Amino acid sequence: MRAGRWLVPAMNLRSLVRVLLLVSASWLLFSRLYQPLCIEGRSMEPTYTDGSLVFCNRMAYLFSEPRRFDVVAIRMAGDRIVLLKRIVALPGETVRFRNGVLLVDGRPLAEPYLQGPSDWNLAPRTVAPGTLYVVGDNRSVPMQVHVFGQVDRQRILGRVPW
Amino acid sequence: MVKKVVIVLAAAAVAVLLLRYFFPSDERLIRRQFDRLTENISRPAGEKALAGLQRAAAVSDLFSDRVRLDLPEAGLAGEYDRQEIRTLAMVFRNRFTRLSVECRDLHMTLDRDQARITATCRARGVAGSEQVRETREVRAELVRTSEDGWLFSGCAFVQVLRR
Repeated sequence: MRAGRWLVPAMNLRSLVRVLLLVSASWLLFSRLYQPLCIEGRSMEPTYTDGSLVFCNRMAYLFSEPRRFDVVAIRMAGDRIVLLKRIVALPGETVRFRNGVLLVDGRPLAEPYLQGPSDWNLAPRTVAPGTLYVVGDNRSVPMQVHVFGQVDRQRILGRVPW
Repeated sequence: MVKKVVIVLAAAAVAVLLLRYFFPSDERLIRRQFDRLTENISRPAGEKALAGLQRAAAVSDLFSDRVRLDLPEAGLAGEYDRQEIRTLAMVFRNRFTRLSVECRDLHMTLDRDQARITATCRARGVAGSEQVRETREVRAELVRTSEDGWLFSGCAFVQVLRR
């Protein structure tokens, strides 16, 4: 009887207020603070696999700037479908791929999160002011089919904390 | 008391839904055009040839007489007429044995007879033996053709990441 009342409470003002509070809190938590993201695709493997669920901390860059190696969600037209990539270079730095090795300002970057061979080659380019250079963790796919490059800072929605 | 409040709220919600259905705003009309476009571009598995032709024709009916396309990755840039759009839709759909297209996050800027929309479009399907997954930000333009009619007059990919 008690369990039934807990599951289906009596319809009174108190229950209505509780439901409204619960809905508001859930909306605030999951749309403005920690947005859940369902991963589709393999561009961030092995760190994040196809079909897994992650959360994006949308307040992460409210008082700080994005840092190298942060995994970030990138807004497209809105925030319902986003790209998930890792920041590898900051404004003013020079990025290059040579035989699958990522070089930032001419020095190879240690990337322990990578698995599998890569044969990517990309001529050097400088990251423009106000942008960040992002790449997925799965570099064993052909470079032509992998979406990566410079992205405007304003498009960074938040950080994936774990 | 609470029951009365719930009944009044429910009645108000139904009234709003009915108003929106019978007197749609421009935004709603444009959303319907996007829904029609994605529905007709999509290709269910085992679709008959005649149904494919009808859907390609339905796609072209959503476009104005002159359409500006800027989709370099698809090899399309320049102005196209409705007949060309029909052919392009047919060729595009025939590349897939199954295709599902959806548009999300529609943001509109409405002028009097013009609308600019950005949206995220996602295509998932099978082309031959290959799984296809593409997500693009798209910028579209629509023109008003009558009191309640909007047609696509332009479409372009937005470059989110620049190598």
